[in-house]
This record gives sequence, C-alpha cells and structure tokens, in this order.
Amino acid sequence: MQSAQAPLLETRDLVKAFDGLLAVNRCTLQVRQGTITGLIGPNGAGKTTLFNLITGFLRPAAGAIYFRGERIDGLPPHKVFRRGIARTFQIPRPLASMTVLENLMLVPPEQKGERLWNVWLLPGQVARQEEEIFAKAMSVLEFLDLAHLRDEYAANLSAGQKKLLELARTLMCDPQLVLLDEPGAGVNPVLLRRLVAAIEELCHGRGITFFIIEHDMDLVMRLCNPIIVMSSGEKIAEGTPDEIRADERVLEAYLGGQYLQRQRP
Amino acid sequence: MAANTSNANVLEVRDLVAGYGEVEILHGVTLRVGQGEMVAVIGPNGAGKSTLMKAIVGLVRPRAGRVILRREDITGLPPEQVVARGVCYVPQADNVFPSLTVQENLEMGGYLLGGRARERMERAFALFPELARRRRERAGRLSGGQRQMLALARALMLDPQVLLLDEPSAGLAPRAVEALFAKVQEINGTGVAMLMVEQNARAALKLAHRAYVLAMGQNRLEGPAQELLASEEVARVYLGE
Amino acid sequence: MTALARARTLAETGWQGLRYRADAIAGVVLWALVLSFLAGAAVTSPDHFAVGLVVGSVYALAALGLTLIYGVLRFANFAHGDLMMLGAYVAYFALTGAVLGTRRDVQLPRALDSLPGATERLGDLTFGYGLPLATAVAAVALALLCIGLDRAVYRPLRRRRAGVVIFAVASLGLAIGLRSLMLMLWGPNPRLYVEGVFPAHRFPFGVLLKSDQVFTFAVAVALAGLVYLLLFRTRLGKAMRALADNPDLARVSGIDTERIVVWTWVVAGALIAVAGVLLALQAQLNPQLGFVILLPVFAGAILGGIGHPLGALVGALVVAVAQESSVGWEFFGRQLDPTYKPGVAFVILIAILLLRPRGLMGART
Repeated sequence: MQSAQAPLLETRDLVKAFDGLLAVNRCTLQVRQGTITGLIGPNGAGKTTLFNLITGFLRPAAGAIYFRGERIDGLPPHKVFRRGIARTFQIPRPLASMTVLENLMLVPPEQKGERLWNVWLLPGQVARQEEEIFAKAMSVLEFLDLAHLRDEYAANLSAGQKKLLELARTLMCDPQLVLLDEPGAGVNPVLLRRLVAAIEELCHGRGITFFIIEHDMDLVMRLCNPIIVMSSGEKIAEGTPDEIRADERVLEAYLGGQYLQRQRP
Repeated sequence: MAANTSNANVLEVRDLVAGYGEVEILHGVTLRVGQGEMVAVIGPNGAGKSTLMKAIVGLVRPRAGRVILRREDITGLPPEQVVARGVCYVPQADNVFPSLTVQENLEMGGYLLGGRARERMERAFALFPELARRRRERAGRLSGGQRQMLALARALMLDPQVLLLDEPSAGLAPRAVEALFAKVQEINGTGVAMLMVEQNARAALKLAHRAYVLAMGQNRLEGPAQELLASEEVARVYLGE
Repeated sequence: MTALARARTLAETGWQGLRYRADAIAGVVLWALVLSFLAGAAVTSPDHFAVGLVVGSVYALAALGLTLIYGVLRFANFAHGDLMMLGAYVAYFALTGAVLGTRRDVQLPRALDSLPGATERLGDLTFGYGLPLATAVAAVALALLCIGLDRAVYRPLRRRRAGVVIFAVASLGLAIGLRSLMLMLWGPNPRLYVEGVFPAHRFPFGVLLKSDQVFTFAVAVALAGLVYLLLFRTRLGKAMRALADNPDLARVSGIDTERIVVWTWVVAGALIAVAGVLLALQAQLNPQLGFVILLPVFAGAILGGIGHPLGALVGALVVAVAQESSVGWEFFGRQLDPTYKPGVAFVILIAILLLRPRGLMGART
C-alpha cells in the first residue's frame, strides 16, 4: 500500500517533440490521491499531449511517468488502462450503432463470452459474468441518472449525455485515476451540474482521483483543488484556485501568448 | 466614451447568436468597428471568437441577431455576397490555395475585379515585396510567415471596407509575428478598418484602438485598448471570479 | 533537452523523415518503372505501342474528365463510362436519326446524314463532316444533361453534406440507369458510325494504323491541350483549381462556387461526349462498353494521381499501352488472351493503391 504522502501520478522531466517543436518540455508534476486536480493553460500548452503520454498513446522522448510508484511510460494504452487509469476524450466517440447499455457492457476487458468456445462449452459461466457486468452497468447508469437511456442508441444522445456516457465508461472498471479532457465543453448547465456532482461524489465518496483539463474557468475554480497550470509544455504554477487567480505568471501565460519552443534555432 | 453615431460605424454586430449543430457557441454578441479603426477581440478559449468571424462572413449561419455593414443588413448572406459587399476575411488555417502560385492566389483574391485585378495585384506586390519575389512559387511551398502574408494580401485584393483577421499570429515564430503585426498596422494606417481576433491578447491590445473581451460566447468587457491593457478585470475574465 | 531526449526525438523525426523519403523514393521508382516500361513496349512491339497510344488518348480524355470532377466536385463519378457511351449514342442519333423500334429501327425523317455531302469521306477518314457536327451536338447535349444530373442528384447530396460513399453509390445507380436507357433506345446489338472495312496504313517499324486512329490521337491531344489552357490560363480554370484546393476559401474570396460547379460539368460533359465518340469510332457503339472502360480509365487516373490533370493523361496512356502490349506477353509458353486486357488495368490499380496511393503526381496526403 502506498503512503498517503507519495503522489498517485507523477511525471519527471517529461519531454515530447513533434517535427522539432517541443510540445512537452521537461514537465514535472504530481497528482495526489483523492484529489480533483485541474490542469489549465493556454492553447498549445501541451495539456492534451501530456494526457496522451500518460495514457500510452504517445511515447515520451525523455523523462518518466510513475503511477503508484511504478513506471508506466512506454506502456501501450490497454496496459495503462489495466493499471487503473481511465480517460475520456474531448470529442466523445461512443460506439454509435450500439445502445448505451451495450457501450458500457463492452468495457471490461477479456470477458469470457469473447471466446467462441466458451459460449458453447461454458455457457453457465458466460451467463453469470454477463449478469455481473449488467448489474455493474446498471448501477453506473443509475448513479449518473442515465438509466432511462439504457436502450437508446449512443448516436442519438445529446452532446452532454455523450459526455456523461464517456464518464460512465470509465467507471466500469473501477479506476483509481480518471483523466477527463474538457468534460464541460458543449454541455448544457443542467447536465453540467449533474456531472460536477457525480465527480465530487466519486472522489469524496469512493476515493477516485480526477485529473481534469478544462477551459471553463468557473468550472475549474469551483470543482478543482489543486490546479496545475501549464504553458509552453511545462508546469508554471500550482496551487489553490485563489492562489492561481492571483498568480502573475499564470496571467502572463494567458495574455502574452506563447510560442512553442524550437529545438533548433 | 465618445458619442458614436451609427454613420461612423463600418461594421456593427448586434446580439449575434450562432453555433454548430446542437451546440450554441455565441449567445448574443454585440460589437462595432468604426471608420479606420482596429478593433481587437480577445478572450479565453471557447469564447467563440472564431465562430464570431465565421458568422459575420457567412460561413456559419447566425441563428439570431444582426450583422450590419454601414447601413446594409448582411446577416445570413452567403460568403460570396458578403465579400462582394466589402467584408474580407483571413481564416486562421488553410488560408491560401496551396497548389496555386502566389500570383494565382492573388488573382483569386481579386476574382470579382475581372480585368482590373492586374493593377491591383501590382499594388499588392508593392506592399508585400517578399511576395513579389516569389510570384511564381506554389503557395504550398511558402514558409508559415510568408503564407500569412499571402493570406493577408489575398484578402486585401478587393480593397475591403473592413478586414476580418482570425488569429493571424497562430503558429508563427516570434519574428514572423512581429513582421506580420507591423504589416497589419501599416495596412490599418491606410484607412482599412479591421476586426482582429487574437490569442496573443497583449500583442493585440498594443496594436488596436479598441477591444472587446469575450468569454463563453458573451461580451464581458470592452473599451479603449490601452485601458484594457492595464486593467485587472481582464485577468478576472481569463481566470474566473 | 538531454542528449538522450534529443536522440530519441531525432530518431522519431528521422523515422518520419524516412517515411517521407520512402515516399519520395517510391515516386522515383514508379517513374522509372513507367518510363522504362513505355520505352520497352515501344521498342519490342511498336505496333501494339502505337495502338496503345491511340486507345490511351481516348482513355486520357476520359481520365481528364474524371479527374476534373474528382478534383473540383470531390467524388468518384462511376457513371463516367456510361455517360461517354451515351454521348456516343447521342452523336449517332444526331447523325443517323435511328432509334430502336419493335422490330427494326425507327428512323427520323431527317438527320444530319441527310445533309449534302455529310457522309462523304473526309480525305482518308472513314466519316464525313456529319460526324464532327453530330459530336458537337452530343457535346452540348451532354453538357446540359450533366448540369441537369447535378441539379437533380448531386447538388442535393452536397447540400446534405453526404459522405463519399453515398456519392459513389448514387453515381453507380446513375450508371445503371443510363445503361438501361441506351439498351432501350438502341438495343444490345453493336452499331457503328460507318459500316464497312477500311484498310490500315503501314508506318515504319511495322506499325499499322487506320487514318481514323491517327485522327483520334490528334484530336485527343489537341483537346487535352485546350483543357490545359483552360485550367492554367483562364480565370475560370484557375477558379476551378482554387475550388479543388479549398472550397471555403474560394467562397470567401468572392467566387460563386455553384456557378463554377456548373461550368465544371459543362467542360466535363463536352469532354465526355467527344471521348465517347472517339471511343465508339475506335471500337463500336455498345451499351456495355461504357462500364467496361471505366476500370482502365480509373486505373489511369489513379496511377497518374487522382485530381492531377497531367497525371491523368500520363496514367491513362500507360494503362492503355500496358493493356495493348499484354496481348504479346507470354505466360508459361502461351500468349495472353486479349480478354484479359482489363485484368492488366486491374492489377495496375491494385498495385498502385497498395504501394503508392497518390500515384505519379497526386498530392501528398
């Protein structure tokens, strides 16, 4: 068991460049367990690239990523997922031709029913696992107040409902850390409130840690503590909402614009 | 603030509502651009600044509100007609024709001029000597800074009454940004009114006469650029209350 | 950045650079293959090569029209071949006034061939001035038809922002409809513009060509040249290219893109009609022929780089020469049956899509 002092997620001197442009430039930050940590910064600061590095969609050029004390940089996305890190995407892409319930039930990996033999040889076990997963999916849906949509095709959901579905999918495997990429974008205020309530309940009630990229400042200031600020690929500030608001460097980053540093002049 | 008669306004936007599909981005934005003015529009991400430009020029249909050019209501007109009436637009990305030469790009900018495009083009080359040197090069081969210059020159071919610039400094190296802003100021000096959306708020405020700060698709602040440059309220818009 | 980080980034950039260079190398290899093949074919069997050039010039006109539509209107027009054949039939109808009745043809009282001297052979060509006149009629008819089809079928799809597949299926449906129309109006039996056997002329290196074929080649080249002048020297042509590059930017430059679309169909329609007549002159008037040549024409357009006019010409030529020369190839001691000619085009198509999808001159994606 890790001590409460050690961070849940940690990056050390993380570097990633594309075509000679440094997207992430020696980024060092920590996310503590049991927090809803915000990640803000102007366009092009490298926030989504950081998420992609953490979740294994990109390999860092240098630096390391630690999760619960173990290195995870370089692992492929599905292995990162198995370790307990789930993420959502800026633009939700649910499996459009499947229902909400089916979208959720597909999430747990290596289900017995995936193998053709098992369906014939072990029908009892397959059915039982299906029941368990069904129960789990229903509990997640009820928690997010989406149960009435369970048989709706994912393509027919509104933008806000799709975001809630994204969150629901991450919950199917009891993650320890959930990375949310702009959860509030395009969501109407009513659903947004539900989303915020769900995140707070999941964090304080079930101990899930959240790391959230968001541009809606009011949302971030309300929901997140601490807040990490990135600019030009590195962390420039960290603190409580009040501290961040008062920080000169943060304001400078947003107002001054910033340029991706070039590797070679 | 000086009293303004609507006569002095080249462009007026009133309570504009616009969006994409089910998502509404602009929830009623109001602004104006006076004769020969350079007006900046700044604000945090998701403020709807690009959508505002597209809604004015007609690439996005406004759902409510008005866009008025001098005395004429141009709300909801298709881009071809908006441009013909004197509003020219420099998009943020994909703002040149890559397989056409520099010269051909300018010809397309001056498409509506027909035969008179030739002399207008020579004037453009006089204003942008780096482009003149590359007249026969394919636009796709130009550097980022040169491409922005070409995009600007293309938009100026029709001698617009007002020029819309969508984040002109995006993706450019610092030196190219300086050169671009110098050019923009030069053009404004000749009397072309401009509405400029910018990510680089500081630089935009230094250049502009007046500015609007948008957030979450609504007006938040407005005033002379100098005042906003020194104001603390701008910080609050960017970083929340 | 540490040395290791720099090395890793360099390796990654190097890998991307390698892919870029691999693409450039593939391009060089492809050009080398194409040129050496053409040279080889010309030298080993000049007679097939010459026929390939003639057929290729017809394919080239077709591919030009196809690539124009793809570039400006952004979809693969599977009705292209059948439109060509329809153009040929319209010219036939204008010339002879003949249409299928219940037992035998129904004849219009007057048609172009009743004009004095219309069927008198022009020099050594098989046809009189009636045919060119009929072709002009067909060009106008097809231009109008294309505009009509665009209004009725393609524009509504454009408005609805339909996907590429929808356009392809719609054009396929159109192709089938047009073929049925031709079958109804002129029957399944092949027809010719001019009946009779005409001798070929001897050229050096054992090349045997009829005057019609030389004429076809000349007309195709001239027409291709005209299209080139249109695209690169006229305001309209440049607007078409601009529209192909970036439709939104074109609109924002004040260009009325719908009008450009109409003009594109006019040019394409005229090209289609002439290419159809030339094709029918080479081979025959046959409702099935349109679809049969669609494959080599597509292969040619894709080999040259879809969307690139010059590429279309080169690609079509190569495919045609390959098809004609294939008759002389030997597999296991037996000569390749001419029925396999389309197979050659098919193989080329697959090879290009696998190895270098952008063809010889296409844009890098």
